[in-house]
Amino acid sequence: MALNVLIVDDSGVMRAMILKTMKMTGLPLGEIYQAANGQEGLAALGENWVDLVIVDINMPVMNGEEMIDTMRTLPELADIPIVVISTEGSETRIERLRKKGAHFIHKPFTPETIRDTIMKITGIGDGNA
Amino acid sequence: MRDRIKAIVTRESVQTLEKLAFIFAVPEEEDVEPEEGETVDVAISFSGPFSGGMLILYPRGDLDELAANMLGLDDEDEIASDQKVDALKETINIVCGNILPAIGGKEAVFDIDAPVIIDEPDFRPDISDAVKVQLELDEGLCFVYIVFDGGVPDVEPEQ
Repeated sequence: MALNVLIVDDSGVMRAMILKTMKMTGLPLGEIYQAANGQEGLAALGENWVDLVIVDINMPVMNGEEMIDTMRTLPELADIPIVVISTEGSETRIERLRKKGAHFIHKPFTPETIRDTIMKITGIGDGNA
Repeated sequence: MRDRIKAIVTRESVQTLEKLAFIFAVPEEEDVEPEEGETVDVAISFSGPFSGGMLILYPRGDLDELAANMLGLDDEDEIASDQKVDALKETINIVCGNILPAIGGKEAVFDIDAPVIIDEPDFRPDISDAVKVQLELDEGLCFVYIVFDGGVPDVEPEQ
């Protein structure tokens, strides 16, 4: 199974870093879509089949938490796994995101952290996929 | 308290550059003033249990390496100027995001504004009372300043 992934971050460099890191992990990647804020991310989800959303929190126009909240209200998007990759350091905020079903990776990240988190969420690599 | 904050800023800046871009920075203790035109300057502000801002003066000659390493580019690849700027903005965003909970504790909630490039030294934030850290890179010194509205805060015990 190849994963179609949507990467949402207002930094083009960070989107490229995440993509580069995901390619390094050896995970089976399908189509990669990119968006610069939550609003663009929701539009991309409306137009494409996506298996995994990777999203930053601090973004202009619509931040990552608002995007997650919207996704959770839409039946067709509510069950898509979400990984938040952010500089957020507040356990209070991180716990709030976890309660919304998002997994959290702190910046700066390592390829292993991304690989292990995605494998855990998707089951890819543990013999179940 | 300033010494503890200086140690935190040093640690988080060094670790971020290493993890983010494989850049190995060495703290420079002897106080040096930045030379005009030798750095690219980026600032960010934050608010929460305490508020303030950060300013990084990054050596112009090291900026290509920062962007190239973050993007995984080869030496012969051309790097667009907006990619260099974006790389520096992301760097200060991550440094700041890691410093604040190290000072204010992991339960503290901060809002961090979008980073901005400072084109003219006159537009730099007031850093007269800043905690200053200097890091030696390949081509020059990187200056990291953090300043707090209302004075230097107490540092929460590390968990």
